Amino acid sequence: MPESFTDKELLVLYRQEDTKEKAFTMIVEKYQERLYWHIRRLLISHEDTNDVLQNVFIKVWRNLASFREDAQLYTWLYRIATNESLSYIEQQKRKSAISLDDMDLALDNKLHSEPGFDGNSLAWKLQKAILQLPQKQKIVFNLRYFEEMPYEEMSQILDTSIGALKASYHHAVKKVEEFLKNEV
Amino acid sequence: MEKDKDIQRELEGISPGLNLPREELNLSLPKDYFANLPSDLLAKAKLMDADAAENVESEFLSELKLLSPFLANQVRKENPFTVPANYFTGLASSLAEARKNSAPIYKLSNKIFTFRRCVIAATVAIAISLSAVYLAKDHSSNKSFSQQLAELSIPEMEEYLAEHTSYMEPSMHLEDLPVSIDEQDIDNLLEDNTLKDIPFNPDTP
Repeated sequence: MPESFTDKELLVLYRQEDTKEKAFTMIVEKYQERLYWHIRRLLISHEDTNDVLQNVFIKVWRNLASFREDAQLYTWLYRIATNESLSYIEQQKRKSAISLDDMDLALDNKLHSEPGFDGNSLAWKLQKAILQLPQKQKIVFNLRYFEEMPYEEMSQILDTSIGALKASYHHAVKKVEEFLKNEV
Repeated sequence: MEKDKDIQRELEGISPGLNLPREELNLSLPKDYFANLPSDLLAKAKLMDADAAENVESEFLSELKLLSPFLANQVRKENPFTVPANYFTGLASSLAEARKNSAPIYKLSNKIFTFRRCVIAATVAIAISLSAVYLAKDHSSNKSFSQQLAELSIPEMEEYLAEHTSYMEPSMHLEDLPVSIDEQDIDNLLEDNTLKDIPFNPDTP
């Protein structure tokens, strides 16, 4: 089972030519779901998420050999996934020549067209509330609220100080609360 | 036995007349009790730790309760999104396929967009190169730059660019390039080449 291998062990396997592909497959299996949901919460649609997730892992495949172990593999993967997601949003904005506000509207439309969307359900309302957040707050909120990620790890992924992350989370929580109170 | 006698003597000295039996009681023990004791204890300790962990409020929840009691009381972990059946079981194999092809999984529209940007980049570079070439060729002329540029023949431009720059292959022709580019195209091109990592919102409080 992939879960039984530590990241260090997987990296050792990856660096040996005969176990390189196996190690990569195990890394994919170990992290695919966590990265998928991290990206999905930002991009909303499964199709967009799938495109970005595959690009993330292709990037990992191409760059893993030069990965320096002074960082954790897990934070490195999250960092790539975050940057790829943000780049994808930027691309979409440029491609459609739309403003940030319109991009938020486009994501809101995607949310509404999700299978099983129910505007009265609290879970969907929470997703709508998160969509209102500025990009960075959105990421911080998702990582903290859904994944309960410690600030230290988040700091490595987002290259932001712990204090700034706490402030972002604080503002995000207040905005989400305000949105939900107006909705409920 | 000497040790047994000593104990007996000591007991009589403490409590004369107390004649306690010295025989061991024949108490029974479960089979392999001592052999299994370490692993049994470890299992019990783990169980107790798990119970304790369930009862201890996570750092995350304490923080959330402090920030927003309202939100802390809402249903939290409910995930309303759905994923196609067996998506995760097939991801590793589809990635292996993509890896063999060694091409990024971009939609066709993305490739067209990338190609368009490359063409625009080439156009900008060609325009700059032509200006420099022409000025270098005839800087003593009194004609305006536009006039000088207009007098260059197409084969002359193509030949120069194919020989002196990497922007144009010998098989390419100037007619293949877009007639005009707008500000937005230039902005996009510059942004793509300047911003390697997308920065987070600087206006975030």
